[in-house]
Amino acid sequence: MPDMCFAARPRNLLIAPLLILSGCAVQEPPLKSAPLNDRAPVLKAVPVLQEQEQTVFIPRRLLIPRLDIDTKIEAVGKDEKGRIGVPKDSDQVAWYQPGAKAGETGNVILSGHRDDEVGPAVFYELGSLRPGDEVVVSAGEQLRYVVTDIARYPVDEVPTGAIFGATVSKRLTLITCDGAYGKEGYEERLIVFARQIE
Amino acid sequence: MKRLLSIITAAFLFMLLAIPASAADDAMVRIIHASPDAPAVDILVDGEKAVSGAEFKAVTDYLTLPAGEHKVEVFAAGTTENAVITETLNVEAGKFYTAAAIGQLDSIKLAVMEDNGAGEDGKSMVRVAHFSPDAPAVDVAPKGGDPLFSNLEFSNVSDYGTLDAGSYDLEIRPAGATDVVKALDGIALEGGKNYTALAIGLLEGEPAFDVLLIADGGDTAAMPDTGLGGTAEASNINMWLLAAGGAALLLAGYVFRRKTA
Repeated sequence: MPDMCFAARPRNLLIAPLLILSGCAVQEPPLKSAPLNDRAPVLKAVPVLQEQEQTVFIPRRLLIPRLDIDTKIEAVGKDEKGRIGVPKDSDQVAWYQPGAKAGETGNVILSGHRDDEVGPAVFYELGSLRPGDEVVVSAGEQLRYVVTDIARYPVDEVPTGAIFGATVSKRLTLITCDGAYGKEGYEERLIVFARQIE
Repeated sequence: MKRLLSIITAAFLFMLLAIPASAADDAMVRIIHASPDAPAVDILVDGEKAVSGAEFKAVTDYLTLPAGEHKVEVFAAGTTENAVITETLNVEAGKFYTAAAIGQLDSIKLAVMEDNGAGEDGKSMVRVAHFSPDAPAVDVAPKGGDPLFSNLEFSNVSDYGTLDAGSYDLEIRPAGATDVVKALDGIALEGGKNYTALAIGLLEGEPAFDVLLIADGGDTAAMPDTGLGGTAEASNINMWLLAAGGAALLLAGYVFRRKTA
């Protein structure tokens, strides 16, 4: 609390009026958004203590009963090409660190190989999942997710916003390769969307 | 022969046109229903249904749209006539946006803001949007402290300000006053994430005044290289066979045309 007293003067942040246009007029210019400032000023306030109530953890193990998958999860970031990292062991799965942890509001992103140089890998049969199937992640505690959608996209047309953008739901996404194998590797990605069962 | 050529040319042109836009050319747009007395809505983007049955307080996930102009139409759920909002939205590649339907139904409008997706470890960037049509201009402050955001009026959004990650007890006050419109205890900000606090609903009437705290933007990445082709050989051979077959057919057609010409 004493620190709060150092918040000496009010911070009069600039208030950017939005360009808001009424819905019925016809000849109006396209909407523009309120622009972002380069730097957000530092606000003077100190956090209060709050106990963590939710179950939130870094997923260490993945279970997909329908596919008989029971494997370890490695933590990865981005690779040198700005791509989601992949597991070193093609029988394991990678958890994308900048995404959500299990149990968090946000999207838990897991990638796994379809195949290695010689044959099938952990997510070879991922495409046979169906809405309603269960995906379980654990690390001592465990959380269950239910599959809501399965879709294939050309690698340049994946729904970036739905995978990486903030969400108000607790979601999990499984990603692997699909489609034809060309010069640049597989040309599609198979993406399984799931929602946490509360 | 000419005709065959033109067919090939047409096919080639079509392929050029059909080359997919890279993900880096896309913008991410989410939509919020913040109009207190509007019904549940369907939202069409460029004539295609993007959101179904969104109710007051609904926040969609980010939709991925090509950069450029898009027609956004908002209809009462289940209807396709008399859009309550028709707007053209102009979005830039690689950026995140929030479009909120705000105001009472008789004066409903779309407020569009660019979201800051770039996080900083241990810090959060926060802004406040005043979308409560009957609330006065407000300040947002730590409990009993000086305002962090001052004199924010309906339909406006503050700039982002930076706070240390953690949990805060804040309060909303009429601008310049000390009485409390709403206490916001335990506002939890996670390091590396940015947030918008949306004041919505009605001070006098239903749905009641409320504050939604939502995370903004996101850290995008390219798709992982999750296959090395070990199971693809068979299908590759098939493709070569198909290609060879196709070439043989074309050649046969050519020879046939030459003979009959």
